[in-house]
Amino acid sequence: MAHGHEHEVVIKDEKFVMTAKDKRVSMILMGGGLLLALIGILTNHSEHEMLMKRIWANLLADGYFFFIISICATAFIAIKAIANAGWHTSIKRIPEAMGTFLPFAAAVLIIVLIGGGSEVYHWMHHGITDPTSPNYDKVIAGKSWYLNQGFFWGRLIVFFAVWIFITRKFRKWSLQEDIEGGLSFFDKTYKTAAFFTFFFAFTFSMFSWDIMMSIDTHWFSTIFSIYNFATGWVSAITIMALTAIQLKKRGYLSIVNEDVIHDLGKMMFAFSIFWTYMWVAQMLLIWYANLPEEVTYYLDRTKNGWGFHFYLNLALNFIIPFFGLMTRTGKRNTWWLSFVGCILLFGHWNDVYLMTFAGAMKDHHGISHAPGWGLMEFGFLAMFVGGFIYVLLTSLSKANLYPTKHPYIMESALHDVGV
Amino acid sequence: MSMKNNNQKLILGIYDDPDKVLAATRNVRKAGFDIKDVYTPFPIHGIDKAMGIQRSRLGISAFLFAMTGLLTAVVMMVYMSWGDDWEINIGGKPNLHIPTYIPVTFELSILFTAFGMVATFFIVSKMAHGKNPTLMDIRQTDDRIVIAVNLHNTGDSDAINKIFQSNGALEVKERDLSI
Amino acid sequence: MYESPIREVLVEGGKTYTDVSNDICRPLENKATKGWWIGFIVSALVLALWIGATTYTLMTGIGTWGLNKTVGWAFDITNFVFWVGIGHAGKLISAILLLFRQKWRMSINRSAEAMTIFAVICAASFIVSHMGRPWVAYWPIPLPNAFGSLWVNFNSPLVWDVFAISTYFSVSLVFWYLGLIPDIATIRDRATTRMRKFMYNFFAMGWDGSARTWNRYELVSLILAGISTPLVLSVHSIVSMDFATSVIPGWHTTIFPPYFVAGAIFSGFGMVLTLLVIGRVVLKQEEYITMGHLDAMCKVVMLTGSMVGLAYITEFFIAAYSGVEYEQYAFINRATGPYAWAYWIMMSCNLIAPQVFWTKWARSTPWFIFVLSIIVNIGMWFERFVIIVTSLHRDYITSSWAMYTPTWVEFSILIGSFGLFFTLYFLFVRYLPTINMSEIKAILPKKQTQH
Repeated sequence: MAHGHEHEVVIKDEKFVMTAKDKRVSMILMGGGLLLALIGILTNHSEHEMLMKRIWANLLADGYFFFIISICATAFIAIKAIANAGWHTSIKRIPEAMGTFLPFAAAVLIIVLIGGGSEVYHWMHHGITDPTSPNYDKVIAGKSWYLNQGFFWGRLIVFFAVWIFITRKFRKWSLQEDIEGGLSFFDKTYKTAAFFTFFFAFTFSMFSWDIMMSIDTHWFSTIFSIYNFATGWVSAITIMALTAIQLKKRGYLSIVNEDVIHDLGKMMFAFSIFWTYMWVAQMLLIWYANLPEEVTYYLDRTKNGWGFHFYLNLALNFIIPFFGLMTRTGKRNTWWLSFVGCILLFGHWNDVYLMTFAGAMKDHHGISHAPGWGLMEFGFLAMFVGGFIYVLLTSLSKANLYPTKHPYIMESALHDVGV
Repeated sequence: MSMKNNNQKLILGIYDDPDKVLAATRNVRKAGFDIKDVYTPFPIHGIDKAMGIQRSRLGISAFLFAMTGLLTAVVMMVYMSWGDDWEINIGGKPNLHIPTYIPVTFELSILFTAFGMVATFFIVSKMAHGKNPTLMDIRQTDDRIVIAVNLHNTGDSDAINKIFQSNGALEVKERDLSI
Repeated sequence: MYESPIREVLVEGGKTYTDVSNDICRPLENKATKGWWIGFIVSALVLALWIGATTYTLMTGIGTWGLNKTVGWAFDITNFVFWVGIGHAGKLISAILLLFRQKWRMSINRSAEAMTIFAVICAASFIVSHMGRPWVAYWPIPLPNAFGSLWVNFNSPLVWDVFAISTYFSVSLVFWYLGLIPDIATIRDRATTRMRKFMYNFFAMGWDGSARTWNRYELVSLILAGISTPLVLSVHSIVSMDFATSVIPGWHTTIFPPYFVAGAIFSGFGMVLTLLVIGRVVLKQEEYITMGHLDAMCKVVMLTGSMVGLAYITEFFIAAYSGVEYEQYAFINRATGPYAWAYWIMMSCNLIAPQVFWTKWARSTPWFIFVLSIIVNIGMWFERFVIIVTSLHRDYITSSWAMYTPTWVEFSILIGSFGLFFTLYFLFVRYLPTINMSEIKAILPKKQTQH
């Protein structure tokens, strides 16, 4: 019974110290990753244009993947706040710290869009909306009211600005609460969270169309934004669980009991199913209706060597978490949960990889052949992982590891999943 | 049944506070007495640990029923749409149309799980329609909590009574239960 | 479990366990009130209208309806989707809110689940009657046909629907009944007449509140909630696929599954609010279904209303973005064509109206909540009407363009179906506890429980 344990939980300031080894590991990941990617680029023998497409697509896929993870961490804070949930309070600093990666991911996306936009995005190809140009594409010209540089950049900058602003506010208020206490920060967060959730739902939709869906400019799917949200959301929760487990292993976060980890495991399980639901909804309906303007998306992603990634997607993101996290033991054994979590993250990276590359790597005939995973993919991925870890740990070390004066902190410390 | 005259002696502690019940249960168990059961009008959080009840394995049965449902659905649909009798061409779809098997497979898995698991629960808990329960106290489904301890040795009665009383029992009584 | 002191209490009035039993059993242990009789008789009369109109349809054929060659689905399927949608909130409250540990669900899940079951019954009645020949309603069941082995078509979303709705109905019934067992046992042990003792004893299945049984019971409930959550999502997704697997502009869109689910939750909460705003007063349950409960439900309505609105806008946007002429026309026609009035009713009731719940006043004024819940119900009915009728009435060939006008028979069946729903609901209120007593007792604040 919870009442009996109240005296055992001590809420105190707890600071994370980033060790020299942490710094070294993230530096090695970043530097080594870059080196691997460079070797991959230099030893690549495909024609220049395809090579450039591949480099930009790599940066885009990784940048997008870590962007949606970071913004979904903020969405996690917002949604938990409006749901009045208390159980997650002891790990709340982790999503707050994840959000600090947002400006870096946004910078990567902006660099890709400026530097490689015309390589990757069909609609940014030169002369595509100009009827006199040999590149003219009537369908894409019909979309230029939405997909034009001015409007595109305008909305993107607004989204980035508002999202980063609110993310920083959430963290700032939370840190201030540690010092000043009281309910004012809690109330402010609640109100802002309501606005953010509403704003985010609409803007994230457009963001996913802009960055991901418009790669295959002809194609469209109404569920696309929710599908992308599911990808980011489940990955963000997985990273929270992995981070909490690692911190506990080092003797930090003693306040986070195994029931909180169990609930994070439940969410990983549940939202893997949710992701699968979105995956099936999109695939089944398009496959069933078999309309030429829609079904090409899946043809591009199952033929010419992409089939491997397509089926791997389902295996890593549905089958493994479904059977792996179904049992209570599966969610409570931290070693196993971390193992499945890593598979899940890789699986969702593969999902973003497939979405990006199959559209971006099209040759002159509009056909893309899977280049396969090489040094470039793993190198860039390692670089991003290193950068993300570095930013995450640095932010974690700058504040208490859990909010000490949050009104729900005791609920979280005494959290019990019951049966 | 009463002909066998196989009587079971019980000592009952009657409470109205779940926290006291938890303490009493822990103490009775610690003292080495054999708790028959605790009867409560609502689930008490933590009573399973206090009584030393093992976690139920009904989850495993649920999984097995789910797999049965899944297999039934797949075998049924493959047999019916891929048999050599009447292959219907619908929209040019292949006869082994895996994506369209998803909905029915899912539904039957859920159906089998729900019914199978609930039926197993009723069987394990010896529940059946119209069964007359043996109540320790008529208010145990309303506002009283009853701890029933098997009295193997009449000499233990005082010791158990003491534990019950010291943990705030409203009433303690002995009862013969014919089984 | 530990609760933060800043949380509002879920049960007001310092109730003890005894009070909970007395308060919740009162409506079914006392003599029926005048109000109950009036409500029941009115509902039964409306039900008689449903019986009459449905019988007339079955005897004569669906030629009595306003359908034509172009608009082959109209009121029947609109009503079906409308009722199935309402049938989702019950499962949502008990399953999803249980998984998300939203404790405020406990006072309302029983009546919401009852609503689920009655609404699905109403929905099923429309499926059967729209078949035209209900005596062959067994055809979608995979039985070998009499002349050889011609099986049902598993490619058909209508066959999926048969599996989905029947699974949903039966699993909901099991879940509901399982939740009722401890409460039925309470009523059994309080019963004073032999008849009551016999009936409640029969359904209580010998429940004695054993901690060992409770332990299993809680696990079974949790697993049932766990499997019911994807079940709720799947059912309305499959209903949406009745439309979305087609190639009809306005129907074929990939957002349909989650969009229908959000709409269903929205309309279901609308109906729960309609019932509970009245019910809590009539049954004197204001201390159990507090203003805090209403507030939370209003927020869910606002949230799901916005989600539905997001889907409307997404659909409209993607139609414009797609560059597909037919798709674009379908949506322009919705907003400006002959059925534009229906479209704008839908938009204003579902997307705009719930936004008033941003204000505290709207969430804490029962009469206003009641009015708004009715608006939500109307809006969600029109949503289905818009999707079905406006997408169908403009065919690919202009010569087959047509208009649809419902007949008195269709109106009678629609209105009558509310009679069916409310008759069942009044019987439920009279014979079963509308609030889960055992769950409420478990969450009473500690100091309240002692005398």
